[in-house]
Amino acid sequence: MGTTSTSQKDYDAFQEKVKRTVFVDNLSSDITISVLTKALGQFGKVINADFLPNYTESKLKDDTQCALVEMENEKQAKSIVTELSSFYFMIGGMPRPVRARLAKAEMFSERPCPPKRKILIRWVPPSEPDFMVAEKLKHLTKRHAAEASLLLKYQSDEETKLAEHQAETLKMSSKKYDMIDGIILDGTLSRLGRHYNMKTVDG
Amino acid sequence: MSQSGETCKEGNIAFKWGKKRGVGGKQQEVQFYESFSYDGVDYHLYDCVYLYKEREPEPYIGKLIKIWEQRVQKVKKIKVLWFFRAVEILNWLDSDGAMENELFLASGEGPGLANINPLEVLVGKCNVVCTSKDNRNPQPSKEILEMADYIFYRLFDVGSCKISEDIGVKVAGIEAKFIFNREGIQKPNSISEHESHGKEGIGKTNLFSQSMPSASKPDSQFPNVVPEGASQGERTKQLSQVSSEPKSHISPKLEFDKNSVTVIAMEMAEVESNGGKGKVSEVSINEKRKLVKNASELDKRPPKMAKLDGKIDKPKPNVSSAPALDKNNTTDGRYMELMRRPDTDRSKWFRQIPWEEQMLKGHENGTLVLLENLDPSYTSTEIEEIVHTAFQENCRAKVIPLTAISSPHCGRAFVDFKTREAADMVIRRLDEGCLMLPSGRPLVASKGKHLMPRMSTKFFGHLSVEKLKFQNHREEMRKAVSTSHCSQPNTIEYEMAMEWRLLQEKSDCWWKELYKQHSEELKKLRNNLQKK
Repeated sequence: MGTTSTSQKDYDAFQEKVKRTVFVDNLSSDITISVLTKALGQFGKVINADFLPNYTESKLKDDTQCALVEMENEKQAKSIVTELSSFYFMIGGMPRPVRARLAKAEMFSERPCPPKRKILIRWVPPSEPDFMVAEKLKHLTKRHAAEASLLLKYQSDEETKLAEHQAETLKMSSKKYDMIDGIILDGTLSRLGRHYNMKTVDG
Repeated sequence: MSQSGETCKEGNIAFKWGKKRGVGGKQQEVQFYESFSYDGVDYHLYDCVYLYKEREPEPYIGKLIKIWEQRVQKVKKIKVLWFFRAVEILNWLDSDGAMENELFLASGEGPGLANINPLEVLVGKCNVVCTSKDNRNPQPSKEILEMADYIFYRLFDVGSCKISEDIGVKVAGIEAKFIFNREGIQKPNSISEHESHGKEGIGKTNLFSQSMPSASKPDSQFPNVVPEGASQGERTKQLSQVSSEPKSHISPKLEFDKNSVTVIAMEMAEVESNGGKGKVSEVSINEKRKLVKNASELDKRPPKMAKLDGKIDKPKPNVSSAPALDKNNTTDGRYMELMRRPDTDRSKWFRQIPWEEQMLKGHENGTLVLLENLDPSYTSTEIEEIVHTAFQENCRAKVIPLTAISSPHCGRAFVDFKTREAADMVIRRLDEGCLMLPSGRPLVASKGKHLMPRMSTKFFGHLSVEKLKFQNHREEMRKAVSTSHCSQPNTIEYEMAMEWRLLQEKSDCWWKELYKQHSEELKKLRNNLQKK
């Protein structure tokens, strides 16, 4: 009672929707819904795509996005998950691949409550022994949140580190290729080839 | 002092009226008394007493402010001015809180101030010492304070719900000197103090005959005739094994239930020492039950019912049968079913402002609260109802959707209240008290923070070679030409993507490990809960 009762039919419909939806993360904030729809449209028909609001602390460091993408059917959703785990799929940039997994009901911010669910709540009197346990549980909840927050920060740091490291590598490689390009372009390569009596590509 | 000498032989329970005061009522049918002896204990006017009610963790405590008998029906009544325990009025306690054994005397006007009860609900005397610094109050000695079951120095106004230390001229029509300690402070359960209070009887009779009309008023509500033997044939009910509270020296002996009104009569442990044997005979118990039954038929109200809730008689389909302190039952431990919240602020004509905007405003005004330790499957509506049921506050709630890395054990939600006071109150009460949700989840609240997206935030992991002219990157994105592809092996991109995938997999593992550990810790702790 009490709660806004959802009919069994609505709830079942929602469960079906969950099954054909994929959760996609590691998305850049530059990506728009239309880009995402187009990208995943290669694997099936996208019915609906929506970004999840990001309320976590990670938002402050790293601007990643995640999204729920509803496909036409469960089969398409599953195939996206398989494809994206076996290939490195890039959307709107590289080399950080996008990741996909099957969605869970709790990932939807708007969802019907299960029909006939009864939630009983109570104030535990301080005289009950349960009060002490509850206090500990509250404490534990806070500690867990702090731990998760710390781990999130660690993850964020790791990602930044990797990105910076890769940027450096890329810069070096790019410089190398630039140098080679330059040598080819200004004729140094062919001169050197002639000098050492070696065959060069365009020589 | 005229001793009535009238001993009521009701079974083996000794009852004897003490000093008479005046008579009252239209036909002089009410006889007031100043003292009586019940079950071996002498009670006097203005004594503090325990009254027991079933399912309450602790007995009620009150002050006898009127004692009388209706002559025709031979019904004995007491009027009791209530004491509140701190837990009952937690809502109005300021930050300094209250001492463990502190009580608050009811004052002002309104439901919850005083009640009329059958005399038989008395279970014993309670030693309450007034520690008010008022100069009219005889200050208790250290020894007396140590002996005290409870102390009080503050009043709780049941009308305005305010706590004050100022004991004025009268409280609930009782002169202040009867509120303060007596000259010879009441000793708990002492039988020999009969004489010492003689002086108080004189001259007070007037006061009570004046208030006679009001005294007889409630009487008329009671059914007049009680068939004397009505309960004679009643089957003996089981003795209840209610555990007694050691501090109060009382042990419950039997209970009787009728029309949801339950009165437990209890024997004073004192009787045990008097009688030598610690057992009360079956006959005595039967007789006592009869007494209690008669009493409960007369007055179908529980001993202390209305308290602060005036709407007691209205049916409340949604609330479990919790008559007392509906608004304030911070700690009564009863299960509450969720109430559908009134749709007052959910006007269908106007569209609600977008949640993001409301959150930002809530963050600025301090009305935003973050709730944690919810069941992750709860919906926003259910959370609004939980808040409404527990705090009678309307709010707008939004669950924080789970992501791949959020805890599967702990659902979180943002709740935006109407006022900052409401938000602060909820945070404070959830911090001090404990609102238990199903499957052992005490709710945790903190100030909600709306994290502003920083302009400078950057998505890490998308690289571009500067020389390759990607200035029009964003623009291209908006046009949404083909911007996705699968990485091909043998490229530098593929290699780097592999590093990212490795990090993603690693992150998956550490989150899984963390939450596994959390789950074990939670399980271990929840096993200690008695009520799950």
